[in-house]
Amino acid sequence: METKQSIGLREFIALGIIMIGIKLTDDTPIIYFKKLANSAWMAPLLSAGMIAVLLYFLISTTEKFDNQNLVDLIFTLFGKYIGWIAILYLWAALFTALIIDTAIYTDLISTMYFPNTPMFAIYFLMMVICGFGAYKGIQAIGSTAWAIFLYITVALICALLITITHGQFDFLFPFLGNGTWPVIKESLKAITIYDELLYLGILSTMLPSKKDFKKGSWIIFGVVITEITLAMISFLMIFDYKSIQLLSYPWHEVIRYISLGFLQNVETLFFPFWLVGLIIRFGAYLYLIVYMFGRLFNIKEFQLLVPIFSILVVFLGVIPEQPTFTLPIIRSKLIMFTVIPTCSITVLLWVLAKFKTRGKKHAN
Amino acid sequence: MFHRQDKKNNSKDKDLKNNKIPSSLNDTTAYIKELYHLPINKDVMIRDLFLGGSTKKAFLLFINTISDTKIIEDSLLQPLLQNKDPLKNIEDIVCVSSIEEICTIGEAVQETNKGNTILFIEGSTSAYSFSTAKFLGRNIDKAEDEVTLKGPKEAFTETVMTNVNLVRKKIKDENLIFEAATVSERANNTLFITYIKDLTNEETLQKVRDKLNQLNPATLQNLSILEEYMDENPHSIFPTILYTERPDRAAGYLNDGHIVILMENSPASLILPVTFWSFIHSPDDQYLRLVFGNFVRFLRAIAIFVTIFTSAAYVAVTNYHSSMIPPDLLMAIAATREKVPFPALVEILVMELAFELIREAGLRVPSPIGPTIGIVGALILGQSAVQANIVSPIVVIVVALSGLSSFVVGDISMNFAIRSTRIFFIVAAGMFGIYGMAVVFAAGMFYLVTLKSYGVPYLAPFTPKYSSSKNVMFRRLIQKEAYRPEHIKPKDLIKK
Repeated sequence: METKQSIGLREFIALGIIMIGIKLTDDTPIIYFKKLANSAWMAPLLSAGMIAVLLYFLISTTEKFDNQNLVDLIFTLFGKYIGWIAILYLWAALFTALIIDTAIYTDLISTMYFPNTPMFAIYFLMMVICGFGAYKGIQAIGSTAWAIFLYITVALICALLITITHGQFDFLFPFLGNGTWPVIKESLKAITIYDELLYLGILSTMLPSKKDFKKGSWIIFGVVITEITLAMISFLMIFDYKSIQLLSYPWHEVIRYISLGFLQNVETLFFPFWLVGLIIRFGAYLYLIVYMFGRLFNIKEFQLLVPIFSILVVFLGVIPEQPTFTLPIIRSKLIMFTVIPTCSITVLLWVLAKFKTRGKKHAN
Repeated sequence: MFHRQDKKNNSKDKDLKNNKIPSSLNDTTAYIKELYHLPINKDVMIRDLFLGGSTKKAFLLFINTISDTKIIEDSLLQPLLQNKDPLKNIEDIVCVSSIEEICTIGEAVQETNKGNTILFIEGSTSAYSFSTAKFLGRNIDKAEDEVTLKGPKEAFTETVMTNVNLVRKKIKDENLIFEAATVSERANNTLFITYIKDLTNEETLQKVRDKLNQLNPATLQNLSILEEYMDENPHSIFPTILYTERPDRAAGYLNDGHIVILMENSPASLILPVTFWSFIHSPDDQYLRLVFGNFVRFLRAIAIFVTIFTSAAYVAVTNYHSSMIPPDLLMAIAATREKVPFPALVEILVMELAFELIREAGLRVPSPIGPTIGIVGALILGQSAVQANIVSPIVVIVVALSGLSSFVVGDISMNFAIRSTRIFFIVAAGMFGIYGMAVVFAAGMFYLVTLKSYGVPYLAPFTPKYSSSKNVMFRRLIQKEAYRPEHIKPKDLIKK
């Protein structure tokens, strides 16, 4: 088995955009629509400033240390013990996120498309295939992401275009929804997108150079913010703020609503691309989880852990009853729980790196 | 008991072969007679003679069925017998193109088996081998399996020297190397590793040499069998070595820095390392005008998608996603399916099986009764099956479409690969609808992107990225194809 993996810039960008961009198809938009009504789409846009600062911190920290990815950085800067705890925390957060997200998506697939298929079968198949991807390594996942990137993008652009032409422009007003202050307050919470950018830092050494990581991260950041904002605008234009608050998965409602010429129901056209995107996302998550776990407990051949973790995810994921209602609540709680630590880890890393390199300069 | 006897005989033969050529001609004759089982063996000839001039005793050894007796008579026997000068060297007496001096009985036998003629001389511990080989074979024919509209028509034949000739004809370069290798000890077939010295990557070349040296099969008939030995993933559905019968194609790959293997008895060549795209391309794509060539490529891409997905999509859509179909079409499908007693999955599988049967039967059937297959296939499986309500007409259309499209991919291995992946998709679609298809697709992609052919990623240069002439899905103007494929690591990246 190859333990030293590498990934090209194109593959990295495709992977990042698919991993984070797919968030717009789950219930993330609804969290903001519930609180911000018409102005929900501004949340990602406004939070972009904050995210940009954090991303700048992350990139400049990684650039200072060659051949060190996020995990190495945490170990060198935080020290052996505190670093271990920080990574354990990041690992636990990602693992919980994976369990909840896979459960949400499985619930989504089974309620929206396969009401008669047992949810467990869908869940199990999903984790088997994600496990297969994670076992093959991030290179395989990245290459697959690049291979289908064009199709996913085309499908998404088509869907957005059709949606916007179907929509009502008037639904965007009143522009500020519940007022200026709530918009700003909630936007600050929208920096959850940053969480995933932080985890991409683990891949930074697998890229040809740190410069590529810098370039790739900024591109991913820009594309994802635009994508989510546009999608939220299009949702709003179709449903208006009142009815959208009652929905669970607006993306899937939207693609059921729109039609393309003689084809009345086009959702099945978008469904397969979305599914492959999903597999790539969870495959990458799973890879990162076993990688961090391997680093925490010094397991060299960490990819062998993949089957155990896949099965674990399935069994933990099917625990919640009434997943359609319970899971989003658990998730919004989890987001509140992770935002502050991830941000502070980034800032601390940056500050410590500043001190360390300055100390070195003095010594020289 | 017999086994032991055989083993004894074998080891005895081996001992004999290791012997140096004795100076006594009688001993040599005895050895040869024993090794060739004379006089049971009818075409092995020993021709005794006295050398002209010196009146030394000597004999010629050859197999008259595989050597050119005219050369032996005119260029060997006549000069040897008529020579008057006892001081003249043998090299100066005979007039054949190539002479080699040999020292052991084993070498003599090996040379004889290759059709050469050996001269043993009384009192000498070495012998001479003269090239007199004449193996019979086909003439150069038209390529039958890889047909092109424009471009050269000739194909490789079973005689390796002809094949070498065909390649040399296309690349007149002193750096074009035909490196001989012998794989099987018993069959002793000649095999040529062909490459252009200042282009091909040494590491890959060494890998190929090592691989060839490692295998020691009892017999090795031809390249189709060697392909399996050389394949790094013999269990894989997807081929990683290109088998082509076209010398122009082999020459094209050589010019890009690939390695070509030619072998006696094989009307083809093996090209390695190759990527997925090599199997999808056809030489015609390059020979046709840019737009038409790319149109053909586009058509082929569509055909691959149709082959893989149509049947599966039909199963998925009718079973799980019926809301997707426009109502009129849905009614039409429902009306035809009404009388059919089987589920859509079974229906499709039965028809796919029938199609594969017709294909295989059509291939194996002796040509005089060939037309029967067409009639039976078309009538029984098409019309009658529908009338008997075994399958619905739309299934016949779906299966026929996917079956027909599969033959747009010319390469036989890739054709099989694509047709077999179809089955995975159909079964997955039957169990999980489009979700199952997406899962199989993702699994296939994960597999393909990690597959390698002698260290070269299967989907390169598409992913991972390498600089190349971008001749992947579509091709560009030939003037713009300035680079050799970087993923095979040629010594010289830029075409000059």
